[in-house]
Order: sequence, then structure tokens, then C-alpha cells
Amino acid sequence: MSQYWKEESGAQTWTTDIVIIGSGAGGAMAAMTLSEAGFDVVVLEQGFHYDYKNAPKTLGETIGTMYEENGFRTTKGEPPIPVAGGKGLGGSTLINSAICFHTPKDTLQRWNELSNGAFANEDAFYQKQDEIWKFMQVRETPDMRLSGNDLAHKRATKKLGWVEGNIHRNTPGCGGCGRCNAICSINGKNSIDRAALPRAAKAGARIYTGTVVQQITEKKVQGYILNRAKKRIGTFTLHAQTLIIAAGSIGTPSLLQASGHNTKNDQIGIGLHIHPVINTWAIVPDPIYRPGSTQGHYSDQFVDDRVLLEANPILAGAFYQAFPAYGLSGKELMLKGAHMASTGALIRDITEGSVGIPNNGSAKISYSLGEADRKALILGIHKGAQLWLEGADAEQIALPIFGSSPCRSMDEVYKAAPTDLSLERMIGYSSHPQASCRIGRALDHNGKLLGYSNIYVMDASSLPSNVGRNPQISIFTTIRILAERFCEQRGKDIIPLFT
Amino acid sequence: MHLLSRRHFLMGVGATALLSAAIAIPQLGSYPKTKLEVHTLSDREVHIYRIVGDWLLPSGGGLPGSGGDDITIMRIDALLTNLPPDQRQLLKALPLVFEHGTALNRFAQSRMSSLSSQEKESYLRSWTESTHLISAQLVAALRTIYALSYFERIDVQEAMHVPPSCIPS
Repeated sequence: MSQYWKEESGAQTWTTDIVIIGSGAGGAMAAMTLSEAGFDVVVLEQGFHYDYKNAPKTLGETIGTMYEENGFRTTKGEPPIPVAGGKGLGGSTLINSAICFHTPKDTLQRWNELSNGAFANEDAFYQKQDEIWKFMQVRETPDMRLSGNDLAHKRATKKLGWVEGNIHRNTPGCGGCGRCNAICSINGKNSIDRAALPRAAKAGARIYTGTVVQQITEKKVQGYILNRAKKRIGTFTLHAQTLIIAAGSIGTPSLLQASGHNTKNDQIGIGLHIHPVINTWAIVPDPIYRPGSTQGHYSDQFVDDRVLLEANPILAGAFYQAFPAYGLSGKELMLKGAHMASTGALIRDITEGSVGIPNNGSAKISYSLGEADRKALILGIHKGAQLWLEGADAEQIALPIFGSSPCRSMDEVYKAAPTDLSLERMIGYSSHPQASCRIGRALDHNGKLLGYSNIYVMDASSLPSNVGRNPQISIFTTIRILAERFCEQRGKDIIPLFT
Repeated sequence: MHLLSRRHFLMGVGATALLSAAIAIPQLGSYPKTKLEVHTLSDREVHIYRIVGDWLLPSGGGLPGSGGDDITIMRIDALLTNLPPDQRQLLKALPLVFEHGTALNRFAQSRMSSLSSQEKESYLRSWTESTHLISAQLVAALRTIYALSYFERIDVQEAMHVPPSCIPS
């Protein structure tokens, strides 16, 4: 792939029709749609371009380079929860597990109610989503590509008679390296930096990496330029007719508030969902390791309880953290890596948090889980435990609870994770922040920021509530629809996804 | 990976610091100068990370190296070097909690690195087996450091038969 992005330095002044801040799922889709329709587009991305040729070598380096706040972005509240996010061309699609789900029908109906009719045309939405599905080259993970953990997950759910399936992923060239969360070793993942940004650039979009936005007004964007060594090497001022903020569910409201726009729109940053995950680890009797997809199997047996189970990526360090092992006996336990299995329970959270003005470079994310979600997390722990203990005859399992010992039976699980388990004991995680600048609250039906004539938000923060599934396909679809509407309202022809 | 909340971390550090100050004299002393070309870790931090690493993940047991060997320490140093200043300071301070946490218990007469092997074993075991929330969180944070350093080694991952999270170079 030829270089479609630019790395600048010095004092830069740019002028354009539309500036898009962020190049992730939303920003890239908007950039492609708008530039192909004939608008002059500039994309500003704070991170850099990565592929297998220049990817960091280790997971630690990857997290330190390609994850927001070096992987240390965390909510403030009970319990504190790390919130992962990608940084680089492609945003979080660069480091996600490439999991694709259609937007659930009940979610779309809820969105429509919450937004007072912005999603009324269900057929049109799903027709667009089918196009996106093909455009992103989404396919069901074949059994031959399932990892050992995926297969164990599948066997266990089948044994228990739970609703299950292989996960669909946008990895047409998957070689089963299991490295989706870092960088695909063979460029087999069709992340949005590969699917949409080259097309945007071909249509004339100027895509600048290392550009960190500090201040936005209605007509102007200002910031500084970094090189890959994180040294400041320049500044920029950009004049645009229209601003599209697509810096993600944390970055977008942070930026808008840091620029003072919350004085005109007090719904910016309100309503954040984080789609929390709680993991259960197991040691199963027989070795199960084999290379395969990062995450290839799921069960939505408990979807009515807002719990989705997904086979987890298997990481040596995570295994070590899960089991309270130390000394020589601990090291010997780690030799059981090939027996290691794990599931994550994702909760479609009801809790709404908020995003505030960043402090010293750290996002201010306020989020304290409500009682209903606490119960859902405990259900997730119990079902994850049941999956491995009863579905796979696990020798022992480790629960996501501070100070807990490994369990060998469900009785021990119920003792370690009683229904009144306090939130502060739980070890959660999040990869899907969303709905922090919502259509129907902060935005109108077109994604325009209420109170402004030319500032739009087009990313996961625009969603009217939690998708309840891994959200990338829902984000692509929603932003494509918003961007097409933007073009239509200005009399521009839309170039179809397939030409 | 679990990350410790700043509030709980500061509570832990604060409590330890107060008690340490009260009985500071036995906690003082110098540390051996490291021969490693580290960028971020001080001699003291290298020494403590070595001792804790060798206790958590000693040599042998079927896995290569140890949690306190040069390779792991250099990886810890690289990990911290890449962090923003605030987070780096937190993780630089983390080993001090374990070093001077002796002030909180019957080993108050000495810092952790000066304890006898038997005392060290008893002291560190009390940390790792604690069900007290803040203690458990501090231990989890410490283990994160070794998860992202020792268990990031290709030789370790190969011995464990888990997928490599690194690109072999």
C-alpha cells in the first residue's frame, strides 16, 4: 500500500471545506464518504500509521504506542475500570479483535425512541449495514481458524446447551496469528485504515498524522505536530467551513469541553456507556492450545440478562495475573499455559457516566456502576465460571475478584462471588466506550452539535445508547448514513461503497 | 490488565509513608549501584524490582530466566520509560510500598530488601495472600509490571505454549 498520509513539521496553515478530527471507525468512514462526494477534506490524526512492517515488537510497547494514554486510561468511580482505545490511523479498529455484529433490532428501536425518530427507517438502516458488512469483508470465522480457546469455548457452550456461534470478523486474510489487538502479522485484518482511508486519500483527502488538536472554534482548529518519538516538531492552524469531531467517545467530548463548547451545549459528555467486561480464567484438564483467531466464538444465551460471553484472547501475562501464583510452584503452574482458557462477559450497561475536561493529558471519565449492572456483572462471573467448570471440567478457575483464591466448584464460586459482592472487589475492563455525545441529546438527527451551525460529531459518541454488542459495524453504519445525509443536503452525489 | 486506581494507590502510599516516617531510621540505607544501562529506574528501584521479581518468579520451575534477571529488569525500565510522567512516577513509587511496607508489621525494624530470606518470604507472602482490598490492588498492580515484562519474553511464552504476543525479532 502506498503512503496515503502525510507527516508534516514546522508552522503549518491549512484551509479546507471540512476538517475531520480523528481517523477511527467514524472519522475514516466520514472522510471517505465526503471526499468521494467532492468535498475538500482534511483529516487530523494524533497517532501514526502502523502495519506489520513498523509495528512495535512487544505487547508492552504496543500498548505504550498505539493505545490511548499508553493503556492507562481509567474511569474514576466504583470500580475504577481501564478503558482501552486505539491511537493511530484507524483508531480502535487498528487494535480491536475485528469482531462484527449486526446492530440488534431492539437496540435500533431503542435508539429511535431515545433520539425522537432519528432511526425510524429500519429497513434503510439494515440495508446500509449489509453494504457495510460486505465492504468490510466480514466473514464468519471458520472452524479451522478458531484458536484452541475458541474451540474449548465452543465445546463447553455446546455441552451446556447454550446458544452459541462462531464470531464474524473483518479479517479476510486471517492467518490465525491471534495478534489482532496489536498489529496483524500479515495485514489480514481489514481495519478502517485499510478499507476507507486510502479511498479517501485517492479522492483528494489530506490525511495528517501526528497532529494533536488543542483548541477548536467554529471556523478554526489549532494544535501541534508530533513526530513518532513524541517530540513536538511543529504547529498548525486550520481554517474550515465545517468541523467534524470524530475523536472517539472519550476524545470527542473531552475536546469539545476543553474548547469551551459545553457552555452552549450542556449535553456534551453526558450519557457515556462503556460496555464493561469481566473475565474468567480456567485451567482445563487437557492441553487446548493451537493458534487461531484472537476471538472467534461467543454465546448469547444470556442476552436477555444483558450478558454476552466471548472467548478471550489468550495472553501469558493475563494468565499470570489471573492466578495468584508465585515462587517455583507458581512458575510450574504457568507451564500449564497450553491448558489455559478464558471467557469475557460483556455487560450491556444501563449505567450512564460522563466525560469531562482532561487533566494533564488524562481523560476525566466519571463512571460508577449502578446496582442493575453490578448484578449483571455477578451473573457474568457465575456464567463464565459455569462455562469452564461444568462445560469443560476445568481443574480450577480464577475469578475477576481482588484477593480471591482459585475455585474448583460452583459452590466455591458462589462463596467467592456472592450476589452481594461489592463493586470495589471486581476487576473489570472496557473496550467499547460509546454514546457520550448522543444524537437526540447533544446532537440533532444529522449529527450536528445543537447550538452550532457547522460542528458535527461522527463517531461512537454519536450513538444514542449502548449497542449491546461489539460496536464497530454499528458505528460504520451510523456514520455512513450521517455522512451521506450531509452530502444529500448539499446536493452532492454519493459514490457507492462498491464502484 | 488491571490497573490500580490512583486513589487507592495514594492511600496505600500515604499510609506506608506515614508509618515509615514514624520509624524511619531502620528504613534508611543505601542500595547497590546497578550495572544495567537503565533510563528510568533508580538503583533503589532496580534493587527492589529484582528482589520482588526473584521472589515472585525465581529461576527454575521450567520457565527460563527469572522475574529479577537483567532481561526482565531492562524490560521493566523500557515499559516505564515509555509512560507519561504521571503514570511513570506512580509505577516508580510502587516498589517502595513493598520495600517500606515492613513498617506496617512485625518487620518494622528493617526495610524489605534487608530482611533475611525467611523473613522476606514471610513478609512478601503476607502481601500476596492478603484479601484486604488495598493490599490486593497493590499486589495486582505489581504483578501487572511482571506480566508486561517477564511474561512478554518470547522464550517464556514459548515455554508456556501460549501464542506469542511479540513479533519475533
